[in-house]
Amino acid sequence: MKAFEGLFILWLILTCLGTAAEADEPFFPDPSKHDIQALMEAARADEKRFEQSGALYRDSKLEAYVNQVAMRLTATVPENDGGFMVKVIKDPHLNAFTYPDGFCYVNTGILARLENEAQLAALLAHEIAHYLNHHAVNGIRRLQHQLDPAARDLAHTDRAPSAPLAQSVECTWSGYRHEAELEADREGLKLMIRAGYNPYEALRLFEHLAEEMAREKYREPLFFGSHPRLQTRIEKSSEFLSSIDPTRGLRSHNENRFGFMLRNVILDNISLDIQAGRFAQARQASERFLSTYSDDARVYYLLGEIYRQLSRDKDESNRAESFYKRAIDLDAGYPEPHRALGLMYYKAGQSQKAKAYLEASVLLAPTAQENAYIRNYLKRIHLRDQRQVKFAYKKK
Amino acid sequence: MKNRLILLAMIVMIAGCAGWKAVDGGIHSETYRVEVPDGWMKFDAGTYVMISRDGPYLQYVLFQERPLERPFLNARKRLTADMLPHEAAQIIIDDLSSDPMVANFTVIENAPAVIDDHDGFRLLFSYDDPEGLTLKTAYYGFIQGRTYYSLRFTAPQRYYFDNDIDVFETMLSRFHLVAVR
Repeated sequence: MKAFEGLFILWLILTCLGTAAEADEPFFPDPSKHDIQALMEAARADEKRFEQSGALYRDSKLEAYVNQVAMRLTATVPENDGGFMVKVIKDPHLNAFTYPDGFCYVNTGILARLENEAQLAALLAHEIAHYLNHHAVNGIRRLQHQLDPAARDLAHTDRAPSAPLAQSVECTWSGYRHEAELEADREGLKLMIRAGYNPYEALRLFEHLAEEMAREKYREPLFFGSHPRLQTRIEKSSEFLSSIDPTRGLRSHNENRFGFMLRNVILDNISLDIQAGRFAQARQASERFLSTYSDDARVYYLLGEIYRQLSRDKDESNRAESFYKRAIDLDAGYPEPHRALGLMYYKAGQSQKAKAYLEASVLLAPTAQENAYIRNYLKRIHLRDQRQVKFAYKKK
Repeated sequence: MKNRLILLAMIVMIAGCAGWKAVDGGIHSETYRVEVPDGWMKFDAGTYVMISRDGPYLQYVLFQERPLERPFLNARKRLTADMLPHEAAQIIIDDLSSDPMVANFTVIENAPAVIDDHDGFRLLFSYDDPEGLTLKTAYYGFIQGRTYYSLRFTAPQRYYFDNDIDVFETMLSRFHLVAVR
């Protein structure tokens, strides 16, 4: 059933994209109260699903920090109702979206790619602009106008939620109309300036997205829509920035606080990238992390994992080995690199080296799930050793 | 995951290519055979065989053969012939964890296992489908030649999983490879 609903929504989007009104904004009637109410209910249902899905990244300090940045931006808007709230999702893809009731969801993937607080502010300012400018509600209004009169009448009755409602909820995560995105960019830049952030950092955010789009080829980052439009938006934002005084209201990027708050989410997102097989992104993020934190054992372990899983040649295997060893040098009580190194040696037939690392990993993490494999491999090493001893004894 | 399979099954059935048929004594493919108790129905899609007694929403067993060179959809990784069981298990976990249709994916058990004398692994995991139903799966996998074989039993965690897990384990003990690709 969901698949058919999806196809219907897709059809509706394609139909409406082809007839979207451009240039001067005509007057559109207000959407029915029923549709707005249903829009909010649909948003809340989605939010409840997120809460229950295990998809949320639980880090109260990070969440508080991101919301502080959001509050600094919204504090500059007199009509701010305080309803904008940010939550983080465990997902390595570059995306962020906001529901019409103000709940904004930011993926760990996009957070981990940012370089300073001003870039985070650029991301949030764009989403705040969608929320404060009621782009989801305006989406219903515009779509109702585009429907034929019979359908429009139906949309205003207090019966089932209308088709524009379905699309408007969908828009929150699939991207708004091009004009709405441009407006969110422009208003977002104004918010950044008013809050004292360097608006030029928004262009860097565009660069991250463009880079991701080029790398992924088929997978579009939803946050900024499709590729040709991204280019237009970079140009429009640059045009806007060239029209303002570049020194106006600029303050620091708060890089130290930003780096401290995002340290764990960057590492966790590298794990998600590795899990999803996004090795290029994982390696880039690890190397960038290393340039700031060269004594963090976790990043060396993750680099070891990247090269072990790639293992396209001997050089990559050697690199994996040296990264695991470096992780152990930095933290001798860290079980994962011991286990990984032991398993690597076991696979390569280097039993004695494997045995030492595997036994250490079991001691360091006695309840790890992987221990079932390790005990099995250690047993096999033991049996092999016994056979060799017997063979040597017979030879004598 | 389950919904996708069912949708796929529906599409194939609508196209008139195949349908649910009674399992008559067991499944005999070109590469394996397995004994199945009476009362189960099978759906043979070519690349996998699904069997169920009460309908796939209540329980299903899936036998699947997969060429090693085919990458996984979500994790974008490949299995290789020289992989040890723990490495193959990790790729399956990574693929399931990266599936956007799967929520609350939890690995309950990850351990080595022997399937028809082949070294493999056993995973026990639970997850929520898009409708919020919690399902539990016992998943066995092993690599032989250029093929990866998986055998899994999935049912709603509440009541149905415990009801039929022993039946599945018995089927597993009667699974035999007859040819290697």
